[in-house]
Amino acid sequence: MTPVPISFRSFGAGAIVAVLAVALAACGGGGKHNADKPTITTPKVLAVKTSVLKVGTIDIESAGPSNPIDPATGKAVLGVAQSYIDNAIFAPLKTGKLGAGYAALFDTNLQATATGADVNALTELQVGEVTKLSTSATPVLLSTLEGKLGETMYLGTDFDLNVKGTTGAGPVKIHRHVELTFAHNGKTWVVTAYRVNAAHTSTAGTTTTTATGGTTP
Amino acid sequence: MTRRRIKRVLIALAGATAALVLGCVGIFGAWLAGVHVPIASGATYLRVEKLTPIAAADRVAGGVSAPFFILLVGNDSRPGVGGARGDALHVLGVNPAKHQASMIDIPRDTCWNGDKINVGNTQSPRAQANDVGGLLGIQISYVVDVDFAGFTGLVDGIGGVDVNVPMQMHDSFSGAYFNPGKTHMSGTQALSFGRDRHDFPTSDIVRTHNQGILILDAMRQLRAKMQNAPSEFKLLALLGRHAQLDGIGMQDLYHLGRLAFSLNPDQIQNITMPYTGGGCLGLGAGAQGLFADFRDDAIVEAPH
Repeated sequence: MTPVPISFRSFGAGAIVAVLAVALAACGGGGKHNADKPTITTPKVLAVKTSVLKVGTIDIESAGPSNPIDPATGKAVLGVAQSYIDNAIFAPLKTGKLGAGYAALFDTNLQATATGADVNALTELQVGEVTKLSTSATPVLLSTLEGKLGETMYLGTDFDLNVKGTTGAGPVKIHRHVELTFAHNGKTWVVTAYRVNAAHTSTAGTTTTTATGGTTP
Repeated sequence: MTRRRIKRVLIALAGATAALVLGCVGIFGAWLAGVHVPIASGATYLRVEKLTPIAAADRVAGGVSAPFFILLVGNDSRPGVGGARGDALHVLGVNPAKHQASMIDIPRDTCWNGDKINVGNTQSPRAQANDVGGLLGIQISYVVDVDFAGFTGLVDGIGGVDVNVPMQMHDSFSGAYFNPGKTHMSGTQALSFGRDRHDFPTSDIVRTHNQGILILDAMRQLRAKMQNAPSEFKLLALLGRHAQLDGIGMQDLYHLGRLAFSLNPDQIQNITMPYTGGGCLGLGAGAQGLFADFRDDAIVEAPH
């Protein structure tokens, strides 16, 4: 696989991709996020900026004619990926609980494992609340699989997330590689497969966890 | 020609054109509606057919928990040789709940219903699956059938395959000339490796085991590559262009691939069926026990 840079021209779609990039940047732009602001009802919420995902590289694979990613679709998928890190990663680190929208991010076939067997690998529930929090995310590798007519079948987002915080037991560093694959369920884009690797480093050492979902034939 | 006759010809032509257009629209509509039209958009490398549905009752916690079986067939169809006999027969048993699998290699000369078992594929891959399933006492859910040209195209399409060659090979019939050890092979070379039987006293028995090695090495290599969405999409797009799908869609292929690459090939036993006799082979000692071990949960637990 050779990732196609966002400025690629070989598909003759540079302009559309540029529009997509602008749209996606606008989506993540502003640097503000609702979860950043502490509220009166939840005074423990940390007043820190959390990472905002932005598109870096785009890769298009097609079983038929190749089409650029529809900007609205790319924006929607990036929004779901952002919701994932907000609900699964930042919400537990700020409040000790998963975000309310966590389960709904997943395909119905995946919800049981995402909220059950894989919940500790997919989220920061086990780390829980931290008193200090800083985060950074790599640009998102946005990829798509198109069918025989060039129709969008799946979209993938790959990115790394780094988090630093302080728990009651001391400082903790978290590195996550997050791969989410999205399919449209008729209403919205949902996570239909995932592969998440996480490494937690604290004074006690480093532990790694892996979760792979979406293996249902 | 009279004006009336010209009018009749024009009407007939218009009718034929309309029928053609409606036919094309119908096929296109059926395709859009999800009917899997068994046409590959490029050269056909392989055929994948779903034989039995995965029962909804088997879905537990969002996944398929019941074991299932896939028959991998390499047929001998090539220019000058018709018939498409199933010369390479490998049954992969997959247990999704345990994330484990086992593979049994069936020698092509195994006797079944008074003939060699590989004859079944000359009727259809489904018939071949029924024969192999009957031999092992299992129901096969998927059959993947590939011929010589398709095999080489497929291996070349994924950039070749690294094979752990188990022994010296020097066979002019197949064109297999390899030293032991890890060897990167093109499609043509991999085909030679998988076809070589003249180097071995037990001929096809060693060959079928070597084919199992090739399959697991290919799985190992693909698994190492399939570490992000783009690489998975690339492989799926290749299959989408070159696979003839019957009863199965690209979504099924995607999730099957995810399942396959979640398995560790190092933990998949590659077992050649025990045999007896020569010519038309019978089941050897331990074969029935092996099949029973395999069919209960798709995994061979006991050492064989």
